[in-house]
Formats: sequence, C-alpha cells, structure tokens
Amino acid sequence: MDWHQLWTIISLPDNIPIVGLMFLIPFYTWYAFRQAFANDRLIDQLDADPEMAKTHHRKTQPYQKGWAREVHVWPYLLRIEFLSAIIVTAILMVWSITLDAPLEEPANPTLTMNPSKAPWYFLGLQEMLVYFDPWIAGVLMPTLIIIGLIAIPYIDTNPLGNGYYTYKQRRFAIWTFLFGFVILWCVMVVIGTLIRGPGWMWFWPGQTWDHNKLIFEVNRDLHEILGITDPILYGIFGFLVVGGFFLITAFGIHKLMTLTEFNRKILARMTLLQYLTMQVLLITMIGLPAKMAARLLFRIKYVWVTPWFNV
Amino acid sequence: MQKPVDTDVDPVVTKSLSVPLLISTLILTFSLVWAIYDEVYVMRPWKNFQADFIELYSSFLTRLKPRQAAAEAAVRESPEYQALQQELDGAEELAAQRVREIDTVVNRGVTPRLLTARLTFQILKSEIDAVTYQIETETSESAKQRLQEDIDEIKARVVEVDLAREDGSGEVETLEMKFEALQAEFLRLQERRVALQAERAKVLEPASEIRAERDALLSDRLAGLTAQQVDGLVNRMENFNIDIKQIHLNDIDWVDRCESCHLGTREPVTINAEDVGGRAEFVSHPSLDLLRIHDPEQFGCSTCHNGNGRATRSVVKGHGRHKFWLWPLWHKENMQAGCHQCHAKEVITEQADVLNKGRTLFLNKGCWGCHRFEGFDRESDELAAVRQQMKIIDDRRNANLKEQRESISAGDVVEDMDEADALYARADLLSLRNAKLDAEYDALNVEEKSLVLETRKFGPNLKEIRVKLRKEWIPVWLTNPHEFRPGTKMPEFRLLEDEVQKISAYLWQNGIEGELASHPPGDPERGKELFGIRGCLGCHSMGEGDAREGGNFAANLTRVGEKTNYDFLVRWINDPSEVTPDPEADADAPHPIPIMPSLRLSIDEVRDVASYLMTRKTDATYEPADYMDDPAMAEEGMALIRHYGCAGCHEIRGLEREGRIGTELTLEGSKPVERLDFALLTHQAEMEGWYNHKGFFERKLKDPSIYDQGKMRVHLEKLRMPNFHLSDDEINALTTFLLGAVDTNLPAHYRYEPEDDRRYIQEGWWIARRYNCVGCHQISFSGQSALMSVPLYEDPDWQEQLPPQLYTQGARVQPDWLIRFLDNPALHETDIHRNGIRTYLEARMPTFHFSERQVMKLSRFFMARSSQSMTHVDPGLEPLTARETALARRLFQSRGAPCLRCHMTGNPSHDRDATAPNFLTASTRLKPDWTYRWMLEPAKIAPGTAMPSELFRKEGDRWVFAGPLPAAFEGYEKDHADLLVRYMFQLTPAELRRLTAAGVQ
Repeated sequence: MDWHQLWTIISLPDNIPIVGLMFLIPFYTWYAFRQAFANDRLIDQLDADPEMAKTHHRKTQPYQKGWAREVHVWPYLLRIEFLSAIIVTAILMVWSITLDAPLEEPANPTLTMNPSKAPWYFLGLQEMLVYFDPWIAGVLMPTLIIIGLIAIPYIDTNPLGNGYYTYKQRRFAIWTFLFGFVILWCVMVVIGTLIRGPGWMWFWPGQTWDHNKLIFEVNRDLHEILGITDPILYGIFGFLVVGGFFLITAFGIHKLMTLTEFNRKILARMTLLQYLTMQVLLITMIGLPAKMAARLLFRIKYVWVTPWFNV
Repeated sequence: MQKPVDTDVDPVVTKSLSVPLLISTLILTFSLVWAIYDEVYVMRPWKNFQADFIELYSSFLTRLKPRQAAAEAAVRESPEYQALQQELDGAEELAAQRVREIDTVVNRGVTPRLLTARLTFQILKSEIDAVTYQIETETSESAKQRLQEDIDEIKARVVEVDLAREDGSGEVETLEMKFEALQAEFLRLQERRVALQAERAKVLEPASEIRAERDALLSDRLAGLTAQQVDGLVNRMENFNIDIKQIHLNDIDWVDRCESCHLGTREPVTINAEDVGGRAEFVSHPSLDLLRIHDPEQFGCSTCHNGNGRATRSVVKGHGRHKFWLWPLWHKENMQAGCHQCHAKEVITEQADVLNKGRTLFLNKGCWGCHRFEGFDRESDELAAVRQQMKIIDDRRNANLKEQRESISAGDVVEDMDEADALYARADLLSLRNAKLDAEYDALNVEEKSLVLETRKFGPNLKEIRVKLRKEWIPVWLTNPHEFRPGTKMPEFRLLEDEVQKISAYLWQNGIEGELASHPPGDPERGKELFGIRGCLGCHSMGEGDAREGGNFAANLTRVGEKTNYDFLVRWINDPSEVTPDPEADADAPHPIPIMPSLRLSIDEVRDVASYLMTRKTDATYEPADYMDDPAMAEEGMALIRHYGCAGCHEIRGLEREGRIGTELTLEGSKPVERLDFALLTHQAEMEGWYNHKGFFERKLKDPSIYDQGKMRVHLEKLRMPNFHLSDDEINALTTFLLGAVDTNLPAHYRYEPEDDRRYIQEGWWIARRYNCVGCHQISFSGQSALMSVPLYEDPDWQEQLPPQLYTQGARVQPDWLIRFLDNPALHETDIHRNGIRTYLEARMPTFHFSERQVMKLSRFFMARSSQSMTHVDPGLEPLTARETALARRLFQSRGAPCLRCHMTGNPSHDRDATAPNFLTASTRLKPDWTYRWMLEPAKIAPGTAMPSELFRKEGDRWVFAGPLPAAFEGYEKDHADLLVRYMFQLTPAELRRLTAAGVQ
C-alpha cells in the first residue's frame, strides 16, 4: 500500500472538490431520502384523513396543532438562506487562503503531461472517451445530455412532488436521476480523478502510479471474437447487435413503466412522442454502462464497426 | 422517530437564529481578518527579511565604524596625507576671498533677481503662447488678424517688477518693463549666473585637484570604507523603505526580485554570515568582480543563477525548487552551470573553474566519441560541411562549363549577329564566374587539408594492433582496463567473456600486418632519466598509487612493457605520426595522426627511453588466446564493436565510417525531465527528491548501469555507457557542465560570442586543452602545469628547467616568429634534436604536426590574450651611435649586470650552463617595448623568473642602471634600459663574439 501516493492524489488542490464530493453526495442523498420518507408517511396519514388534509397541514411537515399552514418567505426562509450564505462565504474564504490555485509549469507543446486530465467537472466526459469514439463520447453524448436535461420538463408529466420531497410519488424519476447523475456521472468523475493514472491506466487507490507500468490488455472487436471477417457482414452484424440492444432495453424499460399501477397511470398520460423521446434518452444512458461492462469485463473494443464510425 | 416537541410552538416561526448567526458572523469576521493578515504578512515574507536585515546590518555597521574610523585616522595621520592636507588648506585659503565674493553676488543678487524676473516673464509668455496657438489653428484671416493684435497688446503692456539689486546688497528696486525688455533681462541674468559659477569652479580648481589626490590616497591606503561612508550606509538603513526590490531587464522583459530578501548582495561592504547573525541570505555576492562584468541591472540575477525571479511568496517558490518550476536555482556546487548558457562556445571560461573542469573532462575523457556536443570535435563537423560545399561548387562549375560550350557552339551557327554576340557574351560571363568558383574551391581545398590533419580520433589507432600489442594482452585489457591501469581513460564496458573474445578476435584479425625495423637495445638507466626530464611527464604518468607522478592527460606507463614490444616503441617515440602503411586504406579517410607529438629525440635517446619503458612491467602471466585467429569469432565481434560504439574513439578497419552511438548532449540540460529515463527508479527518485537533472546525471555518471537496476533485459539491450570510474569531484564538474548545457532563452546579445580578438581566445583554448599545452606551460596565473607537480621540479635547481610561462607570450614575441616556432619548434630544418630557442632546457618543446589553421589560431590566441595585433610593425629603433655602442658594451660586461653569464652565446661550453636565450634571436623574436618592460620588472611579468629585478632605478623621467656605473656614462642623458634594448636588437654575431671574447664569465 503506497500511502504516499494516495496522499499525493487526494491532497492535490485540484482534487479537493472530488474528495468533498465523495462524502457530500452520499450525505445529501441520504438526507433527501430521509426527508422524502418522512413526507411519504405524512402523505399516507393525510390520505387516511381527507378532512385534515384540507385544513391543517403544511406540505412538508407532519401536522402540528398551533402551527400556521404557511409561513412567509421573509423573514423565515431568507434568514436561513442568509445564514447559509455567511457559512459558505467563510468556508470559501478559508479555502482560498489555505489552498492556492493549482498552477503548474509553463505549457510545452512538445511534451504533454502524463496523465493529462481535464478539469475535474469534465473528467466524466474524459472517462467516456475510453469506451467510445471521440465524436460519440465528446460530441454526441454531451449533446444528448444537454438535450435530455432540457427535455425533462416536457417528458415528465407527473404533477406530484412539486415543492416537497417524496419518494413514493416519484420513484421512477428519482432512480433515473440517481443512476444518471450519481452512478454514471459522479462515479466516472471519481474514477477519472483517483483511479486513472499515467497512460490513463487503472490504478487502485494506494497503488503506485508508475510510468513504466505495463499491462496486458487486448481489446478486440466483437466480430473478431466471433470470427466474422467480411466488412459488409460485420457491419450488418454490428447493426443487428446494437439494434438488438435497443430493442431489449426498450422492452425492459417498457416493463418497468408498466410494473405498478402508478407507473401505468403515468404512462397513460404520455403522448407517443414523449414516450419515444424518453425511451431513446434512457436507452442511450443505459448504453454507457453496458459498453463499460462489455469493455471492462469482456474486453470488447467495438460492437459495431463501420468505415465511418464505431460503436 | 421524531422527538416529542412542544406542539404549540412552531420552530420555523419562533426559533431564534441569533446564536448561529452570531457564531457564523464571528467566523466570517475571523476569516476576513485572517485573509488580511495572510495578504499582508504571510504572502509577503520578504517584509520580515527586510526588517531583520535592517536590524542586523545596522548593528554590523555600528560595530564596523570604530574599526574603520581607527584605520582611517591612521591614514590621515600619515605624513603623505598631512602634506596633501596642508597643500589643500593653502590652496583653499588662496581661493577663499574670490569665492566669497562670487557667492555673495550669486546667492543674494543674481539668483533672487533671476527668479523674480523669470516668474513675471513666464506669466506673460504663457499668455502669448496660448494666443499664438489660437492663431495657428484659426482658419479665418480676420480672426488671425484680431488675435495678432491681442499679442501686440500683451507685448505693449507695462508691468511693474520688484527686482533685487545685482550687487548682492539685498536691496530691491522697482522697475517698469515691457515683455521684450523683461525677456532680455531674464536671458542676461541667466548668462551672468553661469559665468559666475564657471569662474568659481576655476578659482577652486587647484584645491579640488589636491582634494581628489588626497581622497585617492585615502581610498588607496584604507581597506574598506571610511567612517563617513559607513555613516552613509547607517543613514540609508534608517531611511530604508520596506518594499519589493526589483530589477527589470527591459529588452527581455525579465523581472528579478531576489534582492527583496538577499539585501546584502551588492552592499559596498563585504558581509559574511557571521557579521549578520549567521543569516546566509544576507551575505554579499562572493565575487564582486563578476558582478562588475555582469552588472545585475543589465543581466539580472536568475538569468545566471536560475530560480523564479518573480516569486516572492516563499523561499521554495523564489528559488524555484519545486516540480513546476523548470529552472530551479542551481545548487551551490553546480552554480557555474549558469555560465555555460552564454559562454557555450568556450572550453575555458574565466572564474568558472568547476565548469572548466567539467568541459575539460568531457574533452579529455573522450565523452564526445559517443555523444555529440556542439563545439567538441568540431573539426569533423566542419570537414563534412567543407566537403559538402566543395561538391556543390564542383557541380556548379561543371554545369557552367557545359552551358558555356553550348553557348559557343550555338553562337557559331546562328545567322543573326546580335544573337551570336549575346551567346558569346553569355559564354564569357560563365567563364568569369567559373574563375571565381575556382578561387573559392581552392580556398576550401586548403581548408580541407587542414581539417583532415586536425580531425583526430580520441583513442589509439587500432589498425596498428598487430605491430603494437601483445596478442594475449588484448582480452585482459578489454575485460577491465582499470584493473590493468587504474585511472585510464579507457572506460570499463560491461562485456561478457565471450564478447571480449569476439571483439579481440575482430580487432586482431583486422590489424594491419607490417614489418618493424629492428633496433639494438638502449640503456634503460639513461632512458629512465630522459623520461623524467624530456617532458614526457607533462602528459604521461608513471607509478601507481602514491608513487604516481606526472600528468593524467595521457596513459600511465607503469605496465607498458607488458602490452607492447620494443621495436614498436622505438618507432612510436621517434615519430608518432609514422604509421604502418595500410594497403586497403580508404583514399579520403583522414590520415590517423595521433595527438601524441614528436619530441625530436635522437635515435639513441629514443632507444634508451624505449628500453626503459620495456622494463616497466610486472610478472603477470597471460593466458594464450588462440580464439583470436578464428574468423567466425571475428564476424560476431564486428557487430559487437558496432553495438558498443568502439569506433567512436578508435580507428578500426572496416568501421571507419561509424557514427556516434550516444545521445547528443548539447542541450541535455533542457531536456524535459520526463525524457530522462529513470526506469524503475522513478518512484524512488521522486520520493527521495532526486527526480531532476542533477540527480539523474550524478547517479548515471557514478554508475552508468544504474537505470538497468531491476530490469529484466537481455544483455545486448542493457545500457551501453561504460564506467569511467570518475571521482565525486569529477562527477560534480561534469554534472555542472551538463546542467548548463541548455537551450537558453536569452537573446543573442546576452551570449558571449565576441566577433573581435576575444574570439581568438575562445578558439585558442580549445587547442591548448586538446593538445595539452597546459601539461608543460603555465598559461593562466591560476593554472598549474602537470610538470610543476612532478617532484623533480620542486627542487629549486630544477625550477629553472620548467618550460617557460606563457601569460604574456603575445606581448613578448612577434607573431611571425611564433607561427614559425609552432610549426617547427626546432627552428631548423636539419638540426632538429634540440629546442629552437631554449636549448639549455632538458624538456623539449615537441612538434605537434599542427595544421596551418591551428598554428594561426594558436598564434592569434596568444596575441589576443595580450591585446596584441597579428601584424607586427617594426618600430624602427633609433640606431646606436658609436659612443652608445661602446657604452652598451661596457654595461653588458659590467659586473653588476652579467647578462652573458645566464644568456646563451652560441659557445657550446658556455651554453651548457646557460639558463636564458641567446640575444641574437631577440631582433626576430621579441618586441622591443616588451623587452624594455621585461628588463625593468621581470618578476612582475613572470613571477619566479631567474632574471634579476631592480637592475635599473628611476631617476627623474629615465631609468638608469642600478649597479656600479662605468665612468664613461658621465654625461649620458638617455634611458639606460632603452639603450640596452636598442643594443640587443642591433646585436650582430660579430659583436657577440667580441663580447664573449672580452672574457665575460
């Protein structure tokens, strides 16, 4: 165990946000769930007592007699926000005093640093480059992410859950978010920061980042493994595999959408366009871990090879 | 589960946030205070440095002052000072009356009057100027007219001015003046004031001159500053401004703030660490002389020293000793690396002894055999360039000839006369061009010849191996040269046993077969003596361990008798440039002349020395090596020789055209550290703090195979660099040199690439080092020749036998003579077994077989070092009158100046004991002005010379002989030393015979 190496990585001023993120994300996820479950209990309580729901409750707090149904933003919300602003300012001040901006040596065009890493918030994207063609990982995927984020309000027809935490009423949305953001994005940022060393090779925490490390890793295209040599044939074959993946995943998602009464209700409210858009975005999202698994577990380089692009 | 709460009270509404608000506000305030403290003190540590410096330096100065005051008082009380002081007082007294008068008029009259007049004049003038500008920019004529009238009105205005009277009485007169009158008065007053001031300076001139003389005397006699100057420094410390001290070099936009902490660097007092409480950062620069040449205001600090000149936040950042600053401060022991970036063309840079040692090692250990380094082995680079150019010229010449022929034959057949004329003209032009090309070609041809002679491989010629070496010795030597001959330049290759055998086989089978003339044995006793006195020890050494004596430029000959044979040694010592003829030699391969010069020994002496050397052996036994005749082994050996780059240093048959196998090192110091292969030691180096150039070089030089450590490699893939067994000192010198080998980002005018005579000094040192002139001669004051450390020459009787010192050689001799001498030190075509000038010296100036170019370069080198030109103009000495000849002759024979006791006369019995050159050579060899200076103060020119000093004493403006003067000198008014010089330069053999016949001892 090379503690020195581990310390070098996590104490780098660049990496402080990531180290913070590793603790803060789980904490806030837990905290949000705690709140959501408390609300779910309240919702059950109110469902059981419609009278009370009409008169005496505040959306996010269990009913207490003597409490006003609503309170004003000023001063009750703003004073809390003011307090947080002060605390955050103090934290930022101390941070900026104690840690300098991580400036390095003058750039040398003939010598790239190894590992060369993007800023921490882009490391997820950089990690994606390992699994896909640059134009897919660097152009198509980010575009889809942005379009997807824009499209959410138009796809999400569930009217419940606005302004309060709930798990029961937004199970699908919450899991999609957790999968897309926490698992895919944050985990990839953490991998890019802490795991990827020289040569963008995989170093477990505590392993020495040795520039001379050699690893044996033969990644082959799926058609090579299967022994298909004709370019037209394996082009078609790749298309079929990818198409198959789309169909199977779509079927799985559809199964999920029809699993519970609640989901079915939501599905019924969606138009076909909304439904298809959601399907495409979700399948693409699942495509990333699928490809990661194919690469990391089965050493498959590409599934679909064409003269123009590879998937 | 929620805690039970008082359900009536809504926490959102009722709970007070005062406490958390107070606490967080306090934290915020604290962080603000912290930020300010950080900004003011933590990020500006130089403030503390400056405060400390003021305190420590002031107290040092206070301690220094009484010491300096006492020393100063001692000087002030000396009679010379007192005399000057009295003279000064007198002169001041004389001037006092007039000075007082002038001061009264100037201070109380002219100046106040001038100031008042100027004030009024300027007010009027600015008004006029403003209107004038309006006129200039106005477009309508009528408006211009109107404005002109305004000006006239201003000029006509009468103003009242109160002016002080000019006589200095202090009275004021009120005058009414117009603009013109005021202007005239103002100009007149200005002139008057200047005139008065000039007069004042003139009156005081004698006094100021004496004062300057007095002050010069004081600063001459006083070591350090006067008490008053120390006071000035104390005063400066009291008014010291705590701020960033910055040097900005405008032309390269270079900023150095080093002196914000290193405040003592340029102080006029020498500050040692113990003077300032042991704070090493406050000491003065160790060489103020260097700072004078490289003024920090022009050169900055970090240009030479490296480090981050802009950074002021911490010591680490300022010194740049962290991984993100690519130019960290040189470590103390490598400081001179900074010199090389600008002095890259030199092998010897003054005041940079460590760097010079590094370069000399690189040159004399043969590093350049494998590693190209610009400047080293430049001859072969130049030779390639010259040959290339010759080829281009030749091609152009042929093309021209072809076109010329075509033009003529075309001109012969065309009908039109004009066209024919044009064609013939073209042909003429081409032949003219070819004539020019021919001249260029010839010049290059001459240069090529020189270069062929100069291009010499570093190691011995291995084609001679069969006539030279004992066969069985070769594999023993290859296995580990340092075991046979500790300290040899041949490095230790990590060869396997079979590799040694294969390489030996190839070398043996590719040696030239040749017959050596057979010689009768000589006298080893006599040979031993000759070896010690003829100068062999300037380059070679003899004896091992503590018994070792001689230079380390060439081989240690302690066991030479084991490896070679007598007949070869005789041929080699007699003339090293003689080689066994090679029937297969490549026609344009350079003739392999070794560096070893010919000492022009007589054949008997050669046999004696060779016999002596053949006795130098141990009783070691050698295994028979029959495999060396196996052709199959040789075939494999060739590949190995290629692999290990043997041909980089040695002439080897079949491998004459091999290139270098090492990496080029010219810019090794700026190679990114990532490109230095630390291999498996990378992580260890990072942890232990030597992951940098210095760490890499030092370890690599100590153990060239170190970066193979832990690697699983087949033998031939391992690192090839052999082990030179360098000492720690040598490693440090070479590291310094390599660290300095950087691609400098300083512009050309910072680099030392002089175009004038100083260039010849740079060039000359290369030859002086390559051919080891410094083995026998002392060329610079600081350098010791190898011979000087040989025990024999420590005997006072033998010190006179040391080869001459050459500090001022250029001033001493005429360039033409020097060229002749370097070309043939015997200065004779046939009588060559002797020195040309100092025949009395046992040590022999050898013949180096220099090329014409090298002779010229060396002569220029000596001339340039003494600021002499290469053209010597005979100054045309005044002929001697008959009386003067007689006088000079008397002086020569005088008992007080027995010149001919030491100087040679040409009489063999006398010359046996002579210790100085013959006067007859003076007129063609020496420069009269130098000879004159030499006679007056020889010890100043060549410390330790046998020539007596104080032969002459000063009498008024001339020098007269200091010894008992012959009576005939009565009434002779001219300079005696000059008389002797003229006599010496007009000396004829007949006159010399006359002198010697007169019976001088």
